[in-house]
Amino acid sequence: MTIPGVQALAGPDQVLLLLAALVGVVLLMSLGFAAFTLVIHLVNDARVKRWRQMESEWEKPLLEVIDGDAPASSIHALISPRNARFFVGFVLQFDRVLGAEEHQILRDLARPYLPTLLPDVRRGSPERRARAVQTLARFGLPEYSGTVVQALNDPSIFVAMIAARGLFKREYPEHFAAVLSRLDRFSTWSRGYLVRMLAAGGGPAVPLLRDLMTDGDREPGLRAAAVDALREMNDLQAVERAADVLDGGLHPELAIACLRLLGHAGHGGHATLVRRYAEAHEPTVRAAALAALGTVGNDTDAALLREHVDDTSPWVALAATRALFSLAGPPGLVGLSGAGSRARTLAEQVLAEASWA
Amino acid sequence: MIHQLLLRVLVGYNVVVITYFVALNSVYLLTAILAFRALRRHARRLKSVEVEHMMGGVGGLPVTVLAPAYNEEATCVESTRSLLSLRHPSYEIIVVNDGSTDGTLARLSSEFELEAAPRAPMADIPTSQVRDVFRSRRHPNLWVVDKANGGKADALNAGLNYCVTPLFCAVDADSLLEPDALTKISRPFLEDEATAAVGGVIRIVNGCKVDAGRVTRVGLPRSSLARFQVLEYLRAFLWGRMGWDALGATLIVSGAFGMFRRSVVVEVGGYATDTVGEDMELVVRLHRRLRETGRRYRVVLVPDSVAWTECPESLRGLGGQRDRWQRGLVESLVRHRRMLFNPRYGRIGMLVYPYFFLLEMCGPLIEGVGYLTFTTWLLLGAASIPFVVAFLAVSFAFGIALSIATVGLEEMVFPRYPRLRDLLILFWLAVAENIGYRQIITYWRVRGMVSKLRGVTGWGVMERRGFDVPNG
Repeated sequence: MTIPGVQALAGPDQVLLLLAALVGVVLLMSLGFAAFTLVIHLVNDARVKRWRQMESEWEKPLLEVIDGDAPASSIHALISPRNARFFVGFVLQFDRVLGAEEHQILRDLARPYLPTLLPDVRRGSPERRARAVQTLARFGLPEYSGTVVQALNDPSIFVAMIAARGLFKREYPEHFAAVLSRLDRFSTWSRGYLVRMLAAGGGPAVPLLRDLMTDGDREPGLRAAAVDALREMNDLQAVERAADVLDGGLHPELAIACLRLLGHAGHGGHATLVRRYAEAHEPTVRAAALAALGTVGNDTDAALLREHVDDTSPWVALAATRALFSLAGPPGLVGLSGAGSRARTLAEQVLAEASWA
Repeated sequence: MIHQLLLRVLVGYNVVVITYFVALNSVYLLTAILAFRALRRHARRLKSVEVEHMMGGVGGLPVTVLAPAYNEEATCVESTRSLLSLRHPSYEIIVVNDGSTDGTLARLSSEFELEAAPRAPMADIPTSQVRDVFRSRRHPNLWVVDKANGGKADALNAGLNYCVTPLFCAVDADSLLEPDALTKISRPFLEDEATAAVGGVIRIVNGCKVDAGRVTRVGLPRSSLARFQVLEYLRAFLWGRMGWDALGATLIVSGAFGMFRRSVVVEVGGYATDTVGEDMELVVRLHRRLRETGRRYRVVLVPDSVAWTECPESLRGLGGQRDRWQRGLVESLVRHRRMLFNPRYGRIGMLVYPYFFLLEMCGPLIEGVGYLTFTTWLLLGAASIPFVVAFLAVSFAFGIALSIATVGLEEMVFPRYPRLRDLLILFWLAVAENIGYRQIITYWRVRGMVSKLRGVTGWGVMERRGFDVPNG
């Protein structure tokens, strides 16, 4: 085998030499990779052993402190400054599985070591910053609230979200405004996640969320998240404001959220407004409107709902069937058993769902 | 005269082989560097904030797991148990019995106390006839759709029609998901609503100890053929796919474990039923449609969400699998050839598609013919034997370096093999696979292309030993 182009530049011996050198280099690299892998394996092993050893040393005293059988100082005596971060991580693990009562104890245990995390909030990878922010938010509020609030402006949206989640808790209403003012940063995040985060604010967050819902200058998606959070918090007073918002004609996402809220806590007075959306172009809006009619509608809506059982969208058809059941119970579905196969299946499904519930 | 002509052809082909070799290894080097950086970043992220904690009570996304099953009597109960034991805040399982002729449905029915339950489809992707829908009395989130046989894609489409959650996760019936796999794989959907699809990592379960649907001890298989595949899978997922993912150019989401946004997949018409590479075809089609409509979207890989799957341990089984994979690759790439070097499709069209088209699809042919021409060249006495040996040595050395580096990467970011002995075996395999295994895989891939040209369709024989295999 020869390579004319290569050999024009160098003689066969030089080419061979070059290839042999290349093989040598690559094989040496392989040996290097293998040695590196073995070293990593040993280091990983040693780290796991060290971690397990520390865990076994700490676990019993920690459980004694949690049970109230020993003072916090008994475990603090075991923690060397070198292992302070590990200890905070260890306590955090327990905090994830234990309840609110134990949280206070764990918080007190971790608190003396929190200053070791402060440098991490400002330097290193976003992941490291996020970890530090999460731990401070969990164990260090309100003392470290300034640091956590600052993290809302972190260049990494991930870090900012971790900070927002840590701050948006019913115990810290003083930080709600700071989080809500930066909510636009999280507009790409899952709506469900935002909704649950906002709902975690509880009662103290309600007035601010109502304002967000009606603020026409904010993104419709975020306003919709506020509406959904208010629904999760069962905020009855938000219903009238949602009806006003809905009356203005709006973005489908926001309309759906408002319709869901009306469906959850609305009354007969909202039926006319809801009916307007029952013929919306977007199937998702139609489905939300028909579902809401199941709560706010009356007997006169049965015909409209029956019509939509044959809607081109199966989601709309299902919503209509469920609404018929909500309005009139099993008798509301009677006529459907003789209808097309989809309508029949839907009716049977809704009846079965009721029996499973 | 003929001799001279033949020599010229061979010289010309040598240039093609060497160009292919250089191009392939350059791409490998590039993806290796990118994968290394991406995996380090991901590992740091894992150490920082656990996704389960991030989600815990704060909006875990509802998911439907779709598990098509065709004659999976041996594994269906264990896999379904494994699916039922996943740690995820809200999920439903739909097992689709695709007209099995064995006792799959009966085993599922007796084990999980299935009862017929009315349920209307929420999409109308055409499928073979659905006979019945069942719900488990013991596990209210477990459903079984019984339908006439139509193939894996058809079964997935049937499941998709009954899916009511925003996300669905497609798994093979013989896949075992790690308990937190669903939560981990859904993280990109949590962080970005534009996420359309996410791939997980597949690892080989042969040789591992499995208890109650969970892998409790990781080990290497006994069979050499399966061991080679362990290394191959590590290389494919941690190196190749992760490298492309770092470039934002993920083109494959494995059919054994991938999560998708339901609405987007329904919008593009579900899985294609006329290809054996329905998983790749779907992702390519998603890229194509979403780029054509100018929508922002993401298709990514999550390297720490793991599904364990059985690999074939016989030459026949492995040959059939690789033949099928190559046919699937050819079908997907030829069908969407419009994307090739088309700037409209961004880095997909200009970077990853050409790589798959020229190097992955045509590569086995180039390599296979290369072995033949080298042999002819030697037989004609025109070759410099030291040169041939040196070239092959370079080729093998690169292969060895890449495989060993993959083992290193695995150990660095997601160490699963606890025993030093396993690592040493993997190093040995990195050397040994270059002699025999690599060539036979090339042969099967070439055979796959020939099968495609001959119009062969279907999946062929699938091996299923069940999970109660002796431990290695």
